[in-house]
Amino acid sequence: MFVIVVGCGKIGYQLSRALLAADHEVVILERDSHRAARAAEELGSVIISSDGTEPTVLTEAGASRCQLLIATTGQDATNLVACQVAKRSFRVPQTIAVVTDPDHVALFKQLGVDVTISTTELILSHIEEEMPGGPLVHLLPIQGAASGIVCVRVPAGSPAIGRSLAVMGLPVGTSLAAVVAKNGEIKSIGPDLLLEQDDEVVAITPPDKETLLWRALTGGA
Amino acid sequence: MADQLKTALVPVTGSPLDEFTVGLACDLVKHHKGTVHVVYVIEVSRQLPLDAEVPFESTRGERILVQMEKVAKSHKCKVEGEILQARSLGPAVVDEAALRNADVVVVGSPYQEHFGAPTIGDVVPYLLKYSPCRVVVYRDAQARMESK
Amino acid sequence: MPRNVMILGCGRVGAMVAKALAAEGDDVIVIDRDADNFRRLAEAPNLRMIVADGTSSEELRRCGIEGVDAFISLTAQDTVNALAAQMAQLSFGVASVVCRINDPIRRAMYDELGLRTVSPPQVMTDLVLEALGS
Repeated sequence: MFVIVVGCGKIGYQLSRALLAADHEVVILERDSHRAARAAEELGSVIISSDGTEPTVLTEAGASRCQLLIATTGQDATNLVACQVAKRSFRVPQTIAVVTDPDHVALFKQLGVDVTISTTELILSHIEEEMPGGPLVHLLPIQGAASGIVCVRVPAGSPAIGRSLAVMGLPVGTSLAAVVAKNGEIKSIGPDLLLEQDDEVVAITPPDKETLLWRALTGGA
Repeated sequence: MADQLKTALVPVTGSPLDEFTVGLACDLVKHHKGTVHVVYVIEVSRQLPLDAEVPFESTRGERILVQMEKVAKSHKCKVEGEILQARSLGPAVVDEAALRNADVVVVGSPYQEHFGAPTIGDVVPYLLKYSPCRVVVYRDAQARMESK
Repeated sequence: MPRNVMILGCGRVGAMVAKALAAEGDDVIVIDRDADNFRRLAEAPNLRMIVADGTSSEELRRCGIEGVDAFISLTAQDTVNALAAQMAQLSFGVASVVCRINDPIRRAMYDELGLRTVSPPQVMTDLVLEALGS
């Protein structure tokens, strides 16, 4: 795949190195000439020392035949404009933006950025996963939808134990995909389903309903 | 010279200097029955894949290499020509020098001006900085440009 | 009726626009990341100056973007202007949004996307050519 990486800070540099190691064609655009020169010593002639939000620079970099643009600078504004120019002026099929301000996630999606990676949310989700007693584990984001697949284990003392799905009431917009009992038995999903301690609940939920879902299944605050 | 120079690498571009640099390289290696590798590097725009077919440039390169082989033979020197496709000249020559285990790179630098001031461009400094082996720069006299 | 106008960026252009609108009687809020830039403006009852980051929706909200009739993005950086203006338009639903975009190609793109853009190099060029012609 031919990938353009905008920004050669820590994320851009490590990402490019990994992409090159996986035999992808990579061009990195880095505005700061010193930073570009330093990275070029390690990565070779894949770096252009120019502003990746400039249409003329993207033309030179070959954006018109690029399959994926990843904007990794520390500035959300730069990452947004790089993705918008790539999408609108060069018809790049897939764009990914690193987002520092979590408030920008929804806006960027609305503005046509295909995937946003919020560094803050990423760290938070890992902190949640470290929580004892029924953590919420992110299994998979669903492409093209604002939802993701998550997994929660029902802990001892959860208010959900012994209650049927109909009574319990899940947050609007969430739905259960599968429930696996401790012994490995897969329970059938229906209004009569009774949850027990140590059930693994796999659910589909939008990110803003995660906390509600987690509370409903674990009783946590 | 303490070390024997047996393998020389000469990047050519089609400039009038090519004959001199190839001749110079022959003189450097022929006492040790060495070989001169002449490379013509096609710089492929990033708008195209690296292995894109560039017939015009390939034909031009082949023509230049044939000429340079004649020059080397007139110096009674073993010569090999090659066309490379790369994004930029400097790194391509450095990689090739490492691959061929070259003892010396001989490069021509025409006298040139940029915005009214003399310049040696990007390639020569790159080679001087990153070449794994010795580098000989043949910078042309200023007069050549005026007589042209 | 006076309008509520928010201006992002208090450089020469931002300051002049702010002064002009305040003189017309509009209520103007000027935002800049750097308090030094407010030296270009004089105190006036209908002119507020706030140090804030215009690319943060939280900060824009703190500055009162939710009550404005117009948002004008005039920093020297196209990227900052593009983000702030699109945020004002989509996230806050500001009725009238004007955005400075210097680069002519990017400007055309944002025009297509429905932003109202102004390009100082373009305006200058037009004026210079006009001055020459007369």
